[in-house]
Amino acid sequence: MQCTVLSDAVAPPVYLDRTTEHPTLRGTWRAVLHYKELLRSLVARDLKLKYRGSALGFLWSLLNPLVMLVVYTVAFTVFLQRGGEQFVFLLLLGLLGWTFFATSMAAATGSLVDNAALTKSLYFPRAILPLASVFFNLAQFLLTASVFLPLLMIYYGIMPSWALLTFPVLLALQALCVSGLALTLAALTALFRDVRHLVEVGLGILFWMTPIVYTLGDIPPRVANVIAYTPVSPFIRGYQAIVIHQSVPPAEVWVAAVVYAVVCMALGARVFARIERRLGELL
Amino acid sequence: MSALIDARRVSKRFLLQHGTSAELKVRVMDKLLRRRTWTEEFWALRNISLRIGPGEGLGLVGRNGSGKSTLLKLIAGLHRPTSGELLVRADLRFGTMIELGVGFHGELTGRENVFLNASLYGLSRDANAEKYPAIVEYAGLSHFMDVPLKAYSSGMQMRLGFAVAATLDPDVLLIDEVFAVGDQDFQVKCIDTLKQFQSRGGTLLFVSHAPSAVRALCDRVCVLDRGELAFDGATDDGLNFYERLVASGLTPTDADEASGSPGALVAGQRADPTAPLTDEDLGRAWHRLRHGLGWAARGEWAADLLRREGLQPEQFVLDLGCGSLGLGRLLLPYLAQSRYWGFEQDRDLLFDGIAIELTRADIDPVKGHFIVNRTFDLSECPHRFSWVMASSLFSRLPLHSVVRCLANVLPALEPGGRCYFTLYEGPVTDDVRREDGLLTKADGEPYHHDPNVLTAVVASLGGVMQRVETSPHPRGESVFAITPD
Repeated sequence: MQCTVLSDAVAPPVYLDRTTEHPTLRGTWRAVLHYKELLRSLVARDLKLKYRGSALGFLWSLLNPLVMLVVYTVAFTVFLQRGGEQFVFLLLLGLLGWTFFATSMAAATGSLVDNAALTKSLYFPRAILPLASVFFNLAQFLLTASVFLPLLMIYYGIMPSWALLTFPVLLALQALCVSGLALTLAALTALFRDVRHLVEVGLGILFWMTPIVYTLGDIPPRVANVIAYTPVSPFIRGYQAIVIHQSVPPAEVWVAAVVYAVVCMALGARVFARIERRLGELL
Repeated sequence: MSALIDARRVSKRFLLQHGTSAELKVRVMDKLLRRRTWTEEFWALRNISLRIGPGEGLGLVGRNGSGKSTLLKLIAGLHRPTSGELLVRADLRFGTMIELGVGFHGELTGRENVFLNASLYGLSRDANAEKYPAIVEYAGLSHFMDVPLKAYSSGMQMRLGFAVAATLDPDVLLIDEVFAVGDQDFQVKCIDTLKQFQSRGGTLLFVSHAPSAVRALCDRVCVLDRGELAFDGATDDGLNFYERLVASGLTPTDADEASGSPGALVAGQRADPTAPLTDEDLGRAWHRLRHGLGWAARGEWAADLLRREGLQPEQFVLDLGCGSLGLGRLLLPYLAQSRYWGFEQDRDLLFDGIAIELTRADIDPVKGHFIVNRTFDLSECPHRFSWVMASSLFSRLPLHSVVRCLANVLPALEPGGRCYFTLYEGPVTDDVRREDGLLTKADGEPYHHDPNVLTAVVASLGGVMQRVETSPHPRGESVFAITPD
């Protein structure tokens, strides 16, 4: 009997082999959760740094969409004589959804390469870096939306309804989609530095393939069928339906949003895990 | 006791890409045009086997590029071994101090930086808040915590960085030369902190060039040499091994390579081999480091001594163990044609001295004569010498070689001529720890010799040996002079 007790007491220690250990999805997820304070700190750092020392501070992040809003409104309603009644509101929601996507992509792309000094001397889950860029831009989205949406709803006399509750759900799906793509692009940039430039060009094209400065009704139906399902479209259409029409978006929007969220996240997790083990040498 | 870290034949290969780049365009063009790209293998570590137990203090020493930092990074999980097994206990918490204050941002205040830095080490917000007062107190910067970091001096930033890392209290601490830059007080404090960490049972892996720090913290030393584990054992023996490794410059294989074309090794180590050699390049060159540091100082010391004692340009001088001509480059311009004679056992060293140092000083080697053999045979020279200088030669020769050398030199001295030599003093019975930390041996390199023994030897060869006190040697060796009886 005593023998069993002894062998229990000195159970052989568990070892990891650094040569073969492979980051599993579950392990990575756990590590990211363990390092959530780092994620929060990085987002807080970027927010602080963005406005510290500037006279207008936080107002800048409102001024930027405001200027875009004015420029596009003047261009489309005054110069081109287009745009319907609620053009400004449609445009705002389009710009919000687009800016979250585009700025996250641009920031995440360089997140690993630009922080090589950190990754060379400290161990932490590398996925934190691209995720921090996404969360920073999500915070920007929320700050801007919380100021502009109520203002415009009052201006247009829109009464809030229960449909608004689906807004955070759709936003969460977009955040998943953006995170997945951010992980993919950050990892690929470590492999090919050109990805950064490709992303810039890609975003320029994608902007016009997304119903932001126009609506699906303004374009020929055959084109609209394609435009409706480009990566940012379902989300923007959803936001517009929820906020302007105070109605739950149609099923095809939800299906597209869920598909994008799942596919992008799966892609991101896959690509990142493949490249993470080689990051030490690539950066 | 089971090991915390168990490395079994671990190797690490880095692939250096030549003729290609991380640019997609370049890679595609390379493929299309069938341009030659090649990959060079660089083995940073080869077949390292090492077990580290709980509570051990292990010092990793080795020259630059020997792989010690790579080993640390493999253990920390920053790089992946190429082959072998590197087993690490799954429940270990590692603390790494590979670079202090990495992630610090100048625009953020000290306080904000502490929180950010601690979260990089994986601390939760609560743990952060709990440790914060201790970190501030340790760093001694309580008045500066609300000031942006850009207003800190570099020393203050170091202190803050170390304070964060030091209060984490992991199971294993991996440290890479982090406080080599701090001032004396800071270093003392760091070492104190690490000792406390050890007394709590912590395991320490310590990469350092500073023997005093290694001695203070480590009971075991591993010496890495060009990716291989060259020594694993007690601290004193390990540091001695390392000193000898440095003192002997490069091992024979490199010297062989260099002999193919003089200066090849010097040129090969530089980013742009065609650029003119700078003093910094030469400071790292093998021919200057071959017999330890202070190449220039030793040459100047010997030249000063000879000139003060009355050296004239028409007199014959033998530079015994002339090496890479640290003394020769000073004497050759001063002496008349064919008055300088250099003797050296190591052909490659002399050839690189001629090719690099004389060329650089614009001295024609034909102005002097050079003798290369292993037996101190000086019969080639038809003259006798007024002066012989053997600076730092006997610290690398055993007694029987010293005797043979003296026996050949004494007949080559003209009446009234003098032979100067320097050596480390010590008894034939014990090894001696020098003031600068070097351990000299009665029967191993670096050697020390008993002056009484040599006095008797010189007397039996028909000479008189006297101590010279007037001119202290730059490496702390004793100076003696021999005159024929």
